[in-house]
Amino acid sequence: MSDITKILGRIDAGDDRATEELLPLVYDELRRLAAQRMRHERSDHTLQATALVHDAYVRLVGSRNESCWQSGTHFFAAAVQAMRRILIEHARRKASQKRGGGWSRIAIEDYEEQRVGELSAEQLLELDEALAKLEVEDALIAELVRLRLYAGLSVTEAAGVIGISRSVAYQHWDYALAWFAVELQGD
Amino acid sequence: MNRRPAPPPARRLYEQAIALADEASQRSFLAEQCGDDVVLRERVERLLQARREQPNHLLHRAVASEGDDSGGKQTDLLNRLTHASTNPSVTSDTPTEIQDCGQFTPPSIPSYNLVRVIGEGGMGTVYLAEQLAPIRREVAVKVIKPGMDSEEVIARFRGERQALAMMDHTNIAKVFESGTTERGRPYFVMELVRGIPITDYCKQHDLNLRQRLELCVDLCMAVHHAHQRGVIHRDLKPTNVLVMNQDGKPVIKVIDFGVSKALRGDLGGRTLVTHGSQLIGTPLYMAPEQAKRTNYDVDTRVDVYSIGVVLYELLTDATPIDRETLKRIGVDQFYSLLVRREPDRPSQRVPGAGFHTKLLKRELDWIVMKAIDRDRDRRYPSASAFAADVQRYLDGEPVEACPPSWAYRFGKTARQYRIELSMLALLMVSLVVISGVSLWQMAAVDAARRESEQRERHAVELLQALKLQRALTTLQDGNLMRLHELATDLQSDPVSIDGVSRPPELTHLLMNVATRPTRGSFANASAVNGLAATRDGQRALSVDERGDVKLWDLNAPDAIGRLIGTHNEPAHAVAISPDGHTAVTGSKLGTICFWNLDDGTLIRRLPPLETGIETLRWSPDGRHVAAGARYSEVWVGDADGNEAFRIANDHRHESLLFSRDSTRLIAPTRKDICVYDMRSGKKIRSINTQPLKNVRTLCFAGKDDRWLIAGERFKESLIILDFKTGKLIGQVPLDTSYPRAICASGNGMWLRISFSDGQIQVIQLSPSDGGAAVTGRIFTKFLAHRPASDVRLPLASLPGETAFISGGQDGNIHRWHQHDVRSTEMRRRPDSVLATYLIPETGRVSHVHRTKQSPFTSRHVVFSPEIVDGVFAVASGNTISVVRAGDQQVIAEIKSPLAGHRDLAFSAEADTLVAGSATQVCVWKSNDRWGSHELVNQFEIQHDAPPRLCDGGQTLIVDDAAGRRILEIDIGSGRRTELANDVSVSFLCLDSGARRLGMIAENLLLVMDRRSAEVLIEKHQFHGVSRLQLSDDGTTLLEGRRDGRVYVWHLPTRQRLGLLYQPKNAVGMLHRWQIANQSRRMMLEFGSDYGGTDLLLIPGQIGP
Repeated sequence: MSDITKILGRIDAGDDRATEELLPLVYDELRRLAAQRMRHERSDHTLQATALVHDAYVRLVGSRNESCWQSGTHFFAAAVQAMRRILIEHARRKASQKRGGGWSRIAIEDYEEQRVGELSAEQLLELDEALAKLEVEDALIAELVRLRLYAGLSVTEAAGVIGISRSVAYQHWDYALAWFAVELQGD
Repeated sequence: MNRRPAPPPARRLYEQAIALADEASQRSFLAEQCGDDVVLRERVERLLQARREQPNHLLHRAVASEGDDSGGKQTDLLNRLTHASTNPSVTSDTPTEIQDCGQFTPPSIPSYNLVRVIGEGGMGTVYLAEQLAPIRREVAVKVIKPGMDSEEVIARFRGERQALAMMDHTNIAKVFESGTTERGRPYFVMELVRGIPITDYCKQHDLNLRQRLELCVDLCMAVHHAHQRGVIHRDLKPTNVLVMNQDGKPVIKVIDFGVSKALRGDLGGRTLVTHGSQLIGTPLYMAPEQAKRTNYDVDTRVDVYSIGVVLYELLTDATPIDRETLKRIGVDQFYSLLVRREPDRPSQRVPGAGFHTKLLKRELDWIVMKAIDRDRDRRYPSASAFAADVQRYLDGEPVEACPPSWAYRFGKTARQYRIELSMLALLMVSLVVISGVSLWQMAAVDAARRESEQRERHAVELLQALKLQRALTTLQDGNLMRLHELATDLQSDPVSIDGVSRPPELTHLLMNVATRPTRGSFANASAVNGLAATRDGQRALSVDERGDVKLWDLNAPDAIGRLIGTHNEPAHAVAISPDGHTAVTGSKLGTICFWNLDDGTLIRRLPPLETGIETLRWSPDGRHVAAGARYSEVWVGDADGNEAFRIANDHRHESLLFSRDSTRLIAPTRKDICVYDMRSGKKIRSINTQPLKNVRTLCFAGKDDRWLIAGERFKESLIILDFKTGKLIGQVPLDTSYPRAICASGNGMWLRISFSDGQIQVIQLSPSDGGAAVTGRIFTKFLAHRPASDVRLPLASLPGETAFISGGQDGNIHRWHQHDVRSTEMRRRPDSVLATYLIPETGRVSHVHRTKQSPFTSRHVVFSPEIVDGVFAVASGNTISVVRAGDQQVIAEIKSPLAGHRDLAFSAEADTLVAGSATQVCVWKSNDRWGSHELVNQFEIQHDAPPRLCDGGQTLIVDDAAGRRILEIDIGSGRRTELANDVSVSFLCLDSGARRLGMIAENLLLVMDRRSAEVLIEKHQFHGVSRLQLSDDGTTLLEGRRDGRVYVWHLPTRQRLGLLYQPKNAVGMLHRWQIANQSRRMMLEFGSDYGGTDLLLIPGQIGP
């Protein structure tokens, strides 16, 4: 716990190398938490980014005040990267299983994954690809979407991390949704 | 992050376009903006189309799947947005139903093109209009109806126009301009509100509970804004509270202040008539007191009631007594039903939105029922108080609407601290696990228990940190009530640290900032409503809620008041004759009684006046008594109770004044202050009170009562008038509105002002401009009594400049001394003073004066930093003197081998003394309180920080500047141990047990555990710190910065909590501080620019 506090302290003090050290720490913690959940719950359980990231935050930075966005910013930036990696790995694994596995299994998974509010592995990969495209076009909006998608932050929380006002964030989010709508429509 | 690139044009245009109302205007906007750039235009149009047609796609679902409340809300909000923009009936609908008049002949108004009628009110018609110049926009124009332009309506209309113009609030429909049509009818141009009634909006958009409550808070705050400007809406109902979408959020707009009436019934020079027999407003939402046909006595609480009904409807889809019943039984029956029967609580109704859980029900019931109480005294005193309570509910804090039970409060507190709670939950889980295991798992259980204990402790520490942090924020906001609440909470909820349960020491300091010590407190059995003091200041007379009249001996603290007599009904007013032998008291039902104070007998009881007595005054010459009756009249009689004359005055009489020569009586009226001649009983003058409109509180001040001070119901300021000329010569901003009582000091230069929330502010007046003007500043403010809504907190001055008494609804009478009540106090240290000590036990200040006798002759002396066990030390030349603090007598002289002294300090037991020069340190010890002493050891060490003694004088902690390390030296053996290395330290501090060591090195703040060498706080690149102080209880660290700011750190959670003190003006460098008696008081010493020392005391005085 004191490791991460120290690293965050160093980042606050402008030490760039500390940022690199932060990611593996956060990644390990998130992966551990994710693995734990997967074991305890059904294997097809969709990873709940919010719960994971918040848990990781409490575990790693727990002793600090949650509203302390100064270090929160760095933490969430790392969490987004880590969580994306975990989710995408997970999705890839599932997608490949699906392709390689028997047909009956596909049917079950398809059924499971079409529940409202959950994404299939393919869908997540699709979103991530679109996000990569958005990154080039409009980095700020991409950052917002990533914080929402991978760190599970609310618009207000994401606004706090990026450092924009809540109402501006809502405008941006509105745009992001439209952008994705266009993008996902296909040509 | 600050250098953010300009947004891509597509996004910029998209975000601008979505703010527009409909598709058509979006299209024209894009056409105009994009010009030839067809690609861009198509791109944005496609985005906008996607927004309209694809409300739910992958990203939506991905984010909506998160179990996050606000995320869900967001998605919900966007869905609604999308819904709104595809549903033209929502966005382009006009506030009220469209009236399509066949023979529409609009009045002609220059610069406006009246398009069509969009609403018809009782006295005017509202048109949708196009403003043509100077800017083109759509507006609403309200014109008085043809055939209805009677004097009365125009007067009322003028009232509305001016009232509206005074208001500027996003949630109140704005008035752009006003004028008269060609046919002489007044009109005004208002913001066009494209909204729908709040109830419809909530239904159509299926708003959840939180969103509905948030709208209610917005509504309250808008109405409060109007109230502060003296405007009551009087007809708040869903059709006057419209909601529209703005930037994707629901925004409320309160429209139609058409029946609003300024509290002071005169605006624009005309009487604003609300026809006596005409019921204005809609019965369903109208407060019971509004139904009384003679509704002179309507105040802002009618709007609180109406908002309460609107909230009731938002929660249940029905009004307390529903429309059907109203239709069935008619208006008169409706009101009698309303007054007779308490309506069902919202939770007893069939819930409209189905979002009730058990707990929510109860709290919201309390809030709503308080707002719609039949008795307005039991309602929220203001719309902002209503809003604050709803907000508290939203924030998960206990609401005020009902005295919360312990269990309720605990549940709420737990919910406020989410993270901590999750830890507590983990603890619970591990406890369950423990209960279920068998013996051979004991080892594992033990480990689990240790872990859970650790978790629990950590959770508790976090909770404490959060509470302290909240208290510090509150301290900066100056919200004393909340600070008191938080400090009480911290005190009653101690955290066990190092095995000892006690509240953090800092709490004492915070509590002392909120409250102040009294010079005597007297407890009465019921709420004290009125107070008067005898001229000699020896005795005080109180009247209370029971009607008892009691005499108190102010010189006998904790004495019981002598019962003189009783009214047997609540009494509010009291006055004592100048000779102190007779008193007069007045009851809520209008009875006036004269009492003989010497033998405690009733002299005379007068037949009751029409309304309750609010104020009584005895003229300074002792010959007359004046009694102010609420909203009716002023009764004036002689000292025996024989009536002289009466003055009709439809206003509150919260204060009345006699001029010093007793020839004039001064009373506030609805529009000014009137001066009456005591001989004739005739009005001889009126004093204009602009900018105040509703003067309630009056007081004389200044030399020979030359200034008249007036306070208002709604404004947060006082005015100062020259009594002779009536000229406005000054204004004093207050921190709170509605001063309830004012009393001035004997010299007239201090004002003490009380407020309903239990607060007293002390104002210092000073003449400027050679006496042509007066300025005032808040000298201090503090919480004197328990807050109670809408009551007067009586005050009375005692002789002299510094003492006064106050009475409260808590039944207490307190005697205050101005010197005690300062929160922070800046003093300049007199030149004749060499050092200043805060006496640890009492917190009093003790100066060491320069005297002829040694050792205080020269300025070149070094003092030990604080008094320890009643002594301090001073070094001068080669002599170190040990001085008894009480009488400053030298009790020992020590010949020192040091060449020049830099530092001097005692051990905690005061039996060991260390002195240092730049390169050497000497330690002396005495076993007989410095009757004799010996030099124990002497070390060659070059050091920068003042050395510290600990472990019963056995150990010396000192920095080794040459070796860049910190050493712990055993004084007896001289053995050195390294505590830290590679640091150049400028300051060291220890807590009382010498367990924790704090240090300031170059750009580093470090706190470590001396024994385990564990680093508790380590802040690199941390500049500007000049002093540290660890609290003895191990909870906090104070960080004193060079600029005078003081920050608080929480040691268990290792975080900086916030500011304790921030100098208002630039102060010099922080040299030194002293803290008395478990952090009850602090003194900071600053080296100031002129070369002397400024002392700052926080708070002003500690208790005995």
